[in-house]
Amino acid sequence: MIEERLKTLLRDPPIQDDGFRTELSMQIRNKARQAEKKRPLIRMLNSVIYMSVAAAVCIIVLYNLLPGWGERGAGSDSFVEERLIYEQSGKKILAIYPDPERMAGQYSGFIFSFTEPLSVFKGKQLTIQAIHLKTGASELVSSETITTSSSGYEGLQRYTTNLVVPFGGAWRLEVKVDGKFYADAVIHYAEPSWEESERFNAGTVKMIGTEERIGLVDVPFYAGQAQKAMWCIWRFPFELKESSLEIQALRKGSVEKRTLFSSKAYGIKQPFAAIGGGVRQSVNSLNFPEPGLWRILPYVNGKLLDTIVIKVQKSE
Amino acid sequence: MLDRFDYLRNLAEGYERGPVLEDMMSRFGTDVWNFAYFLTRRSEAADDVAQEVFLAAYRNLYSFRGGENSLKSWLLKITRNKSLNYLQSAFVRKVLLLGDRLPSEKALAAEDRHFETLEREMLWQAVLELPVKYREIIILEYHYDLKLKEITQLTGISEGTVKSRSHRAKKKLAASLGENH
Repeated sequence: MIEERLKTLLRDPPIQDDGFRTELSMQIRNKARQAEKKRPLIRMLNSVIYMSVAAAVCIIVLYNLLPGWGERGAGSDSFVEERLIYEQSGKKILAIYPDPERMAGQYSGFIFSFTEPLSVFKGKQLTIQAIHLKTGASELVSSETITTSSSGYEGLQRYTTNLVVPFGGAWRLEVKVDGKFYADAVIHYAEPSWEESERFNAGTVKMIGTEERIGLVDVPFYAGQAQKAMWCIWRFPFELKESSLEIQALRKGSVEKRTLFSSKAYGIKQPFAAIGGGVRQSVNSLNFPEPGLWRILPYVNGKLLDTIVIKVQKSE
Repeated sequence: MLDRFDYLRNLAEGYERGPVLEDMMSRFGTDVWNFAYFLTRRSEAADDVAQEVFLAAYRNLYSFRGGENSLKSWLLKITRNKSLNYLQSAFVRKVLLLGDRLPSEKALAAEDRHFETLEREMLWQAVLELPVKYREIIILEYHYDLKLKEITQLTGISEGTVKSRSHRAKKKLAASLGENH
């Protein structure tokens, strides 16, 4: 019978992986708890913000497990050797699996594989920072209190995170547990592209940036003139009561980052408005001091989300 | 007869809700996420919706009086409302509909392995391609195995309309599968 057949065929969902992942329930649990206790929301951001890339990260792992992965991705100024493993007393305690196609200025996923048992990390603050060896510039990779193991593992064998760095060259990834040095690794990034970022249409609105990640409504910017900038951030699954947005920018040829906007400096507690479907919007004013190519660095809650290259025109 | 969630009938104000939330998520997390995904067809939207559903349920737990079956319907009802809100939000209409696509090819490739039969795969694909008003009825009826009455309560749509949508949905499925079911 048709009815029975439909029932049989549609009984199991067409989705292979359980979309309701451990991380998601953890996130809900944390949020519920926080709502209950009305405590400031501080902890849960970094662990889970980009879970939607988990699938992509899996692909990266598979790719990395192929022979010869260690040699790939060496940048041009390789004055410090790449090192993807950290050993303590002859025992490997950390291996990292970066995206082999990584390039400065672009978002890429990482897996940090810790071999020590969960008890070493549980209840402690795990912080990963990236330090640019040439300039000393530092970027936050992640910082969170470890509560559970990686999904499907006993410990943190598959700790997924991601990173965008503004400069090419060697970066040291430093892992700290409760503020104390735990392990590190060194990876190389190819120099970033200085081509203007892609433009894409979001409905009738033309945007510049990375589709489905972050975009800026495409309006002309003139040097020395404040211009309203409207941002859309996709896959931003939190409705935190407080968050921060800081817009920094780098002019081509310079390593000096300038801060063009900071929600904290303005005392804005929540610079984002939800517009449905995990998309957040923010409006601010940007003023680029000089014409030319600029790389815009949007920091959300202290972490660089992506970079957008635009051409700032001479004042009319 | 007592069921697993019968204790909810007597949940008093001030009762520790944390364990109830755990219980609800472990029993219905996948159902909620999948339904949100079936309706929105976007996994990030399903993440958002699932989160909103459980937080809403958590907030309104003391006002809920029912057992397991009605808990499932209640959660699916919230899921439906939140998913439809998502689909109706002006921004989604304007911006994201461009990206409103079927499960990506990558996802389908992964699913290939999982499907027991090609038939099942094709049927699901056809179901997910149905307009949302037909899709939800078919999914509630055949995936969640809900009775007509439960569907009308859950959706707020009259029995007659549910029946005719179910009928039309099956016709559309048959047409898109190119065969007479």
